[in-house]
Amino acid sequence: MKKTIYAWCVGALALSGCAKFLEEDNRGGITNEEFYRTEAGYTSIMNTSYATLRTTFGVEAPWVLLGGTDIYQMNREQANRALMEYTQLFADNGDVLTFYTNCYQAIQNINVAIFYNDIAEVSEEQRQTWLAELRFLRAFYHFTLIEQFGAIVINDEPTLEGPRLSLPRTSLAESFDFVIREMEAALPNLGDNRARVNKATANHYLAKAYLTRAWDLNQRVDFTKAQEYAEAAIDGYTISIPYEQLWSPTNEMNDEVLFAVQYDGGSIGDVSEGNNQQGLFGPYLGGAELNHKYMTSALIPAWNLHNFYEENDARYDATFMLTIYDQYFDYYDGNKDKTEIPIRAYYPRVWEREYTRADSLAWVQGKEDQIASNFRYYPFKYDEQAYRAAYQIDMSTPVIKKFDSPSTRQIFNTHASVRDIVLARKAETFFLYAEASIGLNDFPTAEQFVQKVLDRPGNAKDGGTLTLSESIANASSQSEALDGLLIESAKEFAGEYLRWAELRRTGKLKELCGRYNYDIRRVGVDQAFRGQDGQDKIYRPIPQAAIDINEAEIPQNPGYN
Amino acid sequence: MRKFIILFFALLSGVYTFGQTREITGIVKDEDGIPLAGASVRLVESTIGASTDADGAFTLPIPQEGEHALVVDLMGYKSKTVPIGTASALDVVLIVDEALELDEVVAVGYGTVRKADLTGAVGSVGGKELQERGTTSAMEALQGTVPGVDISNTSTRPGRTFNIQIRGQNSMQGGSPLYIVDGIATGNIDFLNPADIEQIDVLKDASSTAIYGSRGSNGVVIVKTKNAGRPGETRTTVTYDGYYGVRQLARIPNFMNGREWVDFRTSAFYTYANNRYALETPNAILQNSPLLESRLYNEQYEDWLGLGTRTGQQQNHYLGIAGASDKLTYNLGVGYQQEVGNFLKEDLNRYTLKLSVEHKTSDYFSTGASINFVHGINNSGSEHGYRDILRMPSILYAHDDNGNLIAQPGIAEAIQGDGNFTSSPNPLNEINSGTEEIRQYDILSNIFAELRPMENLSIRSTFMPRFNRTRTGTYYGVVPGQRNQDVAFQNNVEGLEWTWDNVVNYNTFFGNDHKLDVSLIQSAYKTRVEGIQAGANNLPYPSWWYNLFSGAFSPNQSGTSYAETSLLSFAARANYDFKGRYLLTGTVRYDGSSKLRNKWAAFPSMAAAWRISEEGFMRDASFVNDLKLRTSFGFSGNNNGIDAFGSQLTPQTNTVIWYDFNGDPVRGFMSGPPINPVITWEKTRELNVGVDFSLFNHRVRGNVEFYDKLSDGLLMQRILTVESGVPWMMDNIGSVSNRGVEVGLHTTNISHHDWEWSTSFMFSHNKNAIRSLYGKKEDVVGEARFIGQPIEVIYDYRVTGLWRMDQLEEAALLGQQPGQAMAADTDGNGQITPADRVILGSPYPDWIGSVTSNLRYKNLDLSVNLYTRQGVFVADSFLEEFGPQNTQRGRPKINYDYYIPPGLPRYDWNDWGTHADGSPQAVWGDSGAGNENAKYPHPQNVGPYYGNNGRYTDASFVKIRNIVMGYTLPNEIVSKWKMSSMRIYANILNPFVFTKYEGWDPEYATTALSDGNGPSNVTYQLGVNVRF
Repeated sequence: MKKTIYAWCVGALALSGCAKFLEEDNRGGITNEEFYRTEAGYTSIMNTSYATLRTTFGVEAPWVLLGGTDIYQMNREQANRALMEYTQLFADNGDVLTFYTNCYQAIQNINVAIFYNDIAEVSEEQRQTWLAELRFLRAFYHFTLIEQFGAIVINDEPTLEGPRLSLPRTSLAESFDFVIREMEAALPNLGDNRARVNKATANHYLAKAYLTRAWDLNQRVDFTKAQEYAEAAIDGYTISIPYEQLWSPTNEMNDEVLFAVQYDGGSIGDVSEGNNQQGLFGPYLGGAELNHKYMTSALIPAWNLHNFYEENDARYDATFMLTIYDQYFDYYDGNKDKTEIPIRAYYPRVWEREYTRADSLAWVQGKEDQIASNFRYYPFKYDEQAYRAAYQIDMSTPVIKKFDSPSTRQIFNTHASVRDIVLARKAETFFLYAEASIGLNDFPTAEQFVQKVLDRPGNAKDGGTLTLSESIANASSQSEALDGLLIESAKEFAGEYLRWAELRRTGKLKELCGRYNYDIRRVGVDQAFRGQDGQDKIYRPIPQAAIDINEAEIPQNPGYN
Repeated sequence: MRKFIILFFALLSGVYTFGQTREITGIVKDEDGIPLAGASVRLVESTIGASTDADGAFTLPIPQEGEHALVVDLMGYKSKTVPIGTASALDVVLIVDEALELDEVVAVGYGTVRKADLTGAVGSVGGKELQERGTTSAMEALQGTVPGVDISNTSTRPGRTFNIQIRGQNSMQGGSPLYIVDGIATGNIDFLNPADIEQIDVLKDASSTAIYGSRGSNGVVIVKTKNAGRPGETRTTVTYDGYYGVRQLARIPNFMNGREWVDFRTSAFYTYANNRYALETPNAILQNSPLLESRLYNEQYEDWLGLGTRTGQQQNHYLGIAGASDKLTYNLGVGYQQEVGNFLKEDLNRYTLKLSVEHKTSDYFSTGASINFVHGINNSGSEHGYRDILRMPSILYAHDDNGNLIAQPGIAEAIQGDGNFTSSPNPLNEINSGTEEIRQYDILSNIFAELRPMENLSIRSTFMPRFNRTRTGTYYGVVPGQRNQDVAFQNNVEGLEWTWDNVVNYNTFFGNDHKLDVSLIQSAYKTRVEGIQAGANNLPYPSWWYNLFSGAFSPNQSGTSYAETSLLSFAARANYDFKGRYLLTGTVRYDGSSKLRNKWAAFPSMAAAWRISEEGFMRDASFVNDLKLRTSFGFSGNNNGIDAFGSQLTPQTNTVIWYDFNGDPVRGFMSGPPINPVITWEKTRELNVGVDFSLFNHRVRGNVEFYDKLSDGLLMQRILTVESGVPWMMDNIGSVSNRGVEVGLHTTNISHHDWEWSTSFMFSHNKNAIRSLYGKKEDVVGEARFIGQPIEVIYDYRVTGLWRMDQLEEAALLGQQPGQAMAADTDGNGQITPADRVILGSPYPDWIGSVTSNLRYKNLDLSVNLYTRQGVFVADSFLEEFGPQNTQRGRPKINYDYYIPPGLPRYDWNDWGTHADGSPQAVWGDSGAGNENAKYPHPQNVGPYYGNNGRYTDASFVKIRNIVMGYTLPNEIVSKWKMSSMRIYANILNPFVFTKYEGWDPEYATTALSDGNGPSNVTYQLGVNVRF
């Protein structure tokens, strides 16, 4: 048969011959081997390995990172009720699946990059630095998964030719071992470029990984390791940037930042490819006609979060947008005279008592001309029921402004923000140290490290110093000490993507949800957390879709069977 | 032998009866002068008769005295009576009976065959029949004409596309048949003007499709456009076919009216907590808007659909000129089609130009060429128009008192309420803001030379380039509340493909009874597609897509692409015919593809047919005019699912990914999908058994086919473990069987001089079943794929009812709440888990059928065509947006039976209060007993075991597709106008649909709304066919 064919070939296509006719010339593309060999090619996959952070943290609301905690309550659409309230949280939850999938898809890209690291024709030093960054990123994703799911599937090889159908779930201990081993191996080769993964980043996350393992596996020695790494990450740094300035849109990548998902107006492919962090926290501010910030209003800062702040705490004003001028972003516009332009909304708060008509008359004095026709004011109320009664109404509570992106104010899109998403900063490292100290029952040291953050310049409105809402040093138990720590971290890190994991690892998730979360209290905390198998839903469920496909036997987390 | 016996008896009887006879001889020929063998020649009112021999000759004894006449009959030709007079020799010319079409020639790929000699399963539709449907699309005309071919409309837009499936879905990749237009492979036939089509043949079984090898297993649709005739007919004909029609909206679903909808909205605000439902924010329902209350009081609602739609129109004009001299023939055609859609800004204009010539230089050589140029311009208006126009509740008005469009009809200011009802922009602004225009240029051309060194040997070489350029331009302007910057985009795809076929054909007779026809085929096929696209926003002035770089360049919408593929093929086919009774066909094709690492694959097939009616023992069964049993077995392939360069491991170079390091922008490509080095074509083996019959003097004709297909090595997106970090990879890892039966029946019920009534029936049933997945006979639940079940199934919880308030505690045990859906515990383990999901149905029809009735009385004709698809169960797009699947409480819904808890606040529409200014005030009443036995759960609390049940529905239907009434003008009149014929007609398309489906149209139930899932319509046409 072959001979006949060749004979035909020669006869019919004498010009070029069969073989050549059937060759492919991929003029617009390039093969992995050809591409990753070059510096440009390898740089490309390094860049996308970082860009996976945008997909994971900037596209979807951080439901699994913040949903169902003590300081955020359900939004008016009651979206993601499952994650906010637990009763209806099951293994088929789409947001859990999205997060899970995003993490592993990021890991695949990194695994491919690691696979081709050998052939990259760059200096040995550069190759090793890149490899260390990649290994850290891979471990970081695995750690993020551990925080949510406990024991996980470790994926440390690329999927290139041929399917991988059976990927078993390892034990929790092995999962931690992998993360810590990889991060420690990467550490020596990391550089100091603060926009990339650097030594300080790795030290911080090692502290966090050890700390998490210490709680989860009850390993006291890990608390000490956590302190060591935290100390290395702090590296003698003193908290010195005032809070408002820390979150100024023009002060990104300041000295406090350890690891941030990078965004920039010049580095997005489309106006809607920014992130959504600025619009997540607080009520809807109306449509494009008003030119305010486009809120998705995924998470409403709970009454308790407001209540945690004390009168003297300047961070309250720096965290929430308490005055909305003519257009929301006018606040950042130096050309606009804030004593002249209209005021659309005002969120007054007086301490220790309810806001009164007298307060409002006092406030308005001298501002009469600024009061817009559609002006509304929404004073804070000390009665939780009264305060949250209006939560479904547009603008009814102040929105978080820390993540505002005024440079994209003209783009009315929920994903317009080009602000970096800060995943880790040094203040958190102090808190990690404090938490490890609590783990070691050294409450005074814990309080001392929290105090170092409270001593941030400008934190106290009266120029003095802030004190802890609830003392850690004088706590009578580890649990009480943690309560004190968690109230402080709620205020310091409002809106940052830390809360759920923090509550979970300290074993406080159910307790604090029961104490502070209105939606969960309403259901009854035991009923909310109890799964059909009678166990509490303390981890997120392994997505059913992942279990269905994996040929290995994947045990489900308690509460979801 | 049979002829001899007849002749013998005839002679005998003739001799016996009349004693004195004379002999008459003659030859029976067709219009082209070709002798016809096997024609029956009979003396009127006698038993004397004979058949013509191979040269068309006959000899008959006739009585010496009296006036006599002969009746000449041959299957496929009109019966003819010839007075004998005194002649002793007669030549009789028979005219093809078009109604019978039994002798029609059928395209089988790289050649044609008489339908009577066909061994495979091929369905054939003539151009006249297609044109009579009055559609602007060839595919729509083809719908319901060929058994086993399931065509469904995918949208209501002008220029829409169609889904087609021949004998069931073979592949997980879906995949469409191979379209061959005048020898050229095209991706679809949507660009053709139906008036330019001479014939469509659909190859269905593997013995027919094997000649197309790796591209054949989804079936092959061969389209022959009107081309040059056979040299020698020295005449010129001019034809004009045209119609004009209007399209009107029809069968609008039953949407909630204003009050019904406010009730629904109220229900959707009921929230469940502390073991009860409550309306926590009653003010949110109407935002304290007296304006809305007045509208509800007066029941004065906005007709949003009416504002976004209009009466559409259709027209088609086609002028053809065909001429011939004894050596040269040509065909010229020019056509214009227009369709104006019902939705604002939708339209289609298409221009067709064709030229075809053929020159028979000598007996040894012919050459010819044709070129077909089509230019189409298709506007689809606003992408989301169909959706957005009905996202506005009818209690909101589009215009203010001055008649100006309200930018955001639902904001606080517009409704004079406390807060926003919705901040959605006015959809009419969006619709008016721009369009998407697709401009398409298609050039199909071919040039051939044929050498006939011997009478029975031909060598033909055909080169067929095809060019397509498709430009898509979109522009949408600034719309208050929607878009602060205008956006423009342009995409250009240019493809050049060529096919070069070389065919050697040899046919020979040996002995008296053996006929052999052999074709050797060599074919090379190459495609090359280049694309470029760019997007921009914030243009300084509305410049559509023509001045993109005056605005801000949008990198994500911009890019270029390149792909090429090649296919090299060798094929052979032999047809052997013994005595016209036993027919054998053998085919093999060997395909080599650039896309695979293992490039070559072979596709063999065999077919045999037995014309039982030609056998001696059938002589007495005079009611049988023709009976043929066919069987075939073979293999064909499917090359869908593997893209160019699909066997190369590459980064995803088509998409630029951005990042930055502290403000320094960087770019890169994500790693590419995994590849499978051993990937190859899907192969389908198929067994086909068919019977063709023609009975009772051809009054009952038809065929029945049974087939059994097994498609193996199916390309599937093998879903990979989520943890492996890639969603899927292609692999040859499945098998699917399709088994079915097809019946086509044409009956002539009345055939009288004045009256003629005939009916056609078409029925097909196909059973699709997955045999294996991922190489194993195991269900893959995660993908809803199950062994023994169709590829597409709807797999979900079976809802058995709703939890009522009085079952509160029982529900709580299962973690459920009143108003939520109750699912069947199908595995009976006392818990509802994902394992309780079951197969609820499949979108594949159980059967499809059509009936066409053609009635003629004198010059009047009436034809009715009915089409049905039964047993269709779908996840519906309409219900997803406008039905129970959509939980949005700010958008309109159709009337559906939803859960209402008892004893909750609800407006009392019978009791109105008065505001201070005297305007009516809506007053709260009570939901009374509620609606706890509803079909659908609480709109915002469906529960965890409901899945997507809110969008599942039966989409079976019976449609009267068209009713045509025509009048053919009498010859006396038209001849005065120098016409040879003229017919005028009226046609109604889609006048009636019988269905339980609640949305726009069951036929395109699964189409996304943005793709044109919009209102159904009825078209009224007036048309004319003229022939000079």
